Parts: sequence; C-alpha cells; structure tokens
Amino acid sequence: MTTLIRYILVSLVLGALIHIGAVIALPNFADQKVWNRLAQLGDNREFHLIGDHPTAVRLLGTADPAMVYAICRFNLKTGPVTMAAPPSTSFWNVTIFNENAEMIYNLHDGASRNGELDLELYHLSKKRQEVLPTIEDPNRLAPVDPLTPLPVPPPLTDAQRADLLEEAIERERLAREDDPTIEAILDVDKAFAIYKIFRPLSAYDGIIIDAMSQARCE
Amino acid sequence: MTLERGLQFNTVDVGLWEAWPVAGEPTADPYSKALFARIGSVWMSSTEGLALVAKTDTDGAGLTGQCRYRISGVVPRGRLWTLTATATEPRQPELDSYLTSDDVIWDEDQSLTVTISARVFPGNWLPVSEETNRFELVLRIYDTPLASGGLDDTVRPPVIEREVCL
Repeated sequence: MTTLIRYILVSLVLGALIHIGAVIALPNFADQKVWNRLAQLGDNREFHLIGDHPTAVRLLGTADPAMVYAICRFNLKTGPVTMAAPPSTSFWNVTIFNENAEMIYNLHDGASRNGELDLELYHLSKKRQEVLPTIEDPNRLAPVDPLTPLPVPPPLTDAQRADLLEEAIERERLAREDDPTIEAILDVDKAFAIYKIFRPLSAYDGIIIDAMSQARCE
Repeated sequence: MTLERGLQFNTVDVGLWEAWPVAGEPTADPYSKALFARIGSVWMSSTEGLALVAKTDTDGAGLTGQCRYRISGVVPRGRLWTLTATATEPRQPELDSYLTSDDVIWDEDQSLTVTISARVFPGNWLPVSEETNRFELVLRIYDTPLASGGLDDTVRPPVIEREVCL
C-alpha cells in the first residue's frame, strides 16, 4: 500500500515539475513568435510600413485600425539605434519589445518637445563603458621611488565612488540639456520597435505616409 | 491543456469590459507569459494606454453582427481613445472601421451614445458586418492614468445594450 502511495506521490511531483517546466519554456518554443514573423518585412535597422489593418493583425496578433504601423527590428549589441521621425498627427507611440514580444520601453508624443520622434537607444553594457572612464581614480598612485615611503590616500568608500559616478552622469546630462534627443538604456540584444501614428480620417493618409517614409531607425 | 483556458490571469473586470493592465510586461506571471507567447500578440504598455475588451452585452449574450447595440455611458478619461470591433471567429470578414474621441458627438450631459450595427444609423455609428457571427469590442484609451493603477470601483465604463436583431 505504501509503495502505491509513494508511486502516486512521485508521479504527481514529476507531473508538476514537467508542467512548470513547460510553462516556463514555452515562450522560447512558440512557433508563432512575433519576432520570427517580422523577419519577412525586410532588413533590420529600417522602419517597414505595414500597409493595411489585416496585415497588421496577422503580424502583430492584434492591432488598432485607427493606427498606421511601422516596424523596425534591430540588435543593440551591434551599436546604438537612432529613431527619428517628423511630427504628423495628434498622437504617435513607439514601443520597444524584446525577442519574446515583452514590452521593455515605451515613448509617446506627449514626452517629445515638439512632436518629433527623436530617440536614441543604447545597450546597457556599452553605456557603462562610456561613462566610467571619465571618473578619475584617486587610488591610482603616481610612480615614485619604491624606497621612499609616501602617505597613501585612503581608499574611496562606496558612497564616494557613487557620488563621483553621479557627478559624471550629471555632467553628461547638462551637456545634452539643449538637445531634445531622448536616450534610453536597455538591457536587451534582439529587439523590435512598433511605431504607430494615429489616423483620425483617411484625409490624413498623406501626412502619415510622409512621416513614415522619413522615419529613420539606424 | 491548461494554457488554452483563456486569459483569466491578471485580468481586471471593469463592468462589462475586461482589462489587462499587466499584459506583456516582463514581470507578468509565467502563465500569462506562456499564453501570450502562444497567441503571439503584442500588447499595450501602461505608458501607452489601456485596452478594454467587451465580449457580451448587458444580458450576457455574445455580440453578433445581426443585432443592433447601443453603447452608452462615460468613457474613462485619456488623451485619445478608439473604439473598434474585432471578429473573433476564423474566416470572417476583417472589420476595420473605428470611432475615435476625435470624431464622436457627445450628449448634453457629457456622456456618449454609440450605435453598433450593420445598417447605417444616425449619430455616432460603428459599422459591423451582417456576416459577422461573433465580435468583440475593443476600447483603447491612449495616454491615461488609468493604465497604471487608476482602475478601481469608481471607474464606470460604458454599458452595451442589445436593441433589435435581424
């Protein structure tokens, strides 16, 4: 009897483990991955306009017919991405997704200074490398006669190091104050951006197509 | 398989409408994540807005293109909203008509009345097709504080009443 109970318990636990494993692994195996479907649009680092609503639904799974969509695929590891577009209608939005179609960043025209899309994306590791060398390291000792003892400055505490890093970042921020470019630092390699422009009426199609054709994703 | 059971996780009921405030973000629970991966859809981030979906009228019956419906009430606030109908069965004509906050006419008391039907109707009218057996209404509210924690009992979204069927 106890052997039977033991077998049942083992089966239950095994079943639960397999279930949990399947649920967690599923996003990687889904054959309907949006990332894969978007490859058919064309080259990376280019905004591809989606011509009509049924195509948008087929590619994205769900779409608002009141919006005109463009997609750009890219890999941040190969370098920063600049996204730019002129102003168009009363609403636009850019959402950045990772390979698993999870949202990692969003920006709409409300955050822009003049209705222009002006966004720069950096990979987290690259940005760190850029900022850190500007901090002078007081712990670095000048070459001296090794026989002559010199007073050694006390090592930086974590708080002091953090302060220096903040100062460096602030210096950089001030340098960019007049530049409306929005910068985002993302921790992702493969990603895609969905840029959508609101289409109040078909009369706006000309303006929207214009803005989309001038939109850059480089 | 349990993952087919429908999007019952992390949904919030707002009257007749269902909202998915945490859909598609990396913090979502693994069940929602797996289900979204399987469906292969992208969703709205909370900064962008909120999507509300209604699948039934006030009697609980599914929405069909053979009936005329009246939506009335107040639309939750946001900079822009769009109302669309989506056919939910395969091989149905793609519905691509829409109404937006830009072009609707409001009633005297600041509330909204919209007619959804296959036949043209005066006032705010969202066309659907007679051939559409089943559809859902999607109300997308863009740039709204409701998307990040503003959804609670005080929000009263529109109701959907069935008026007449063919």
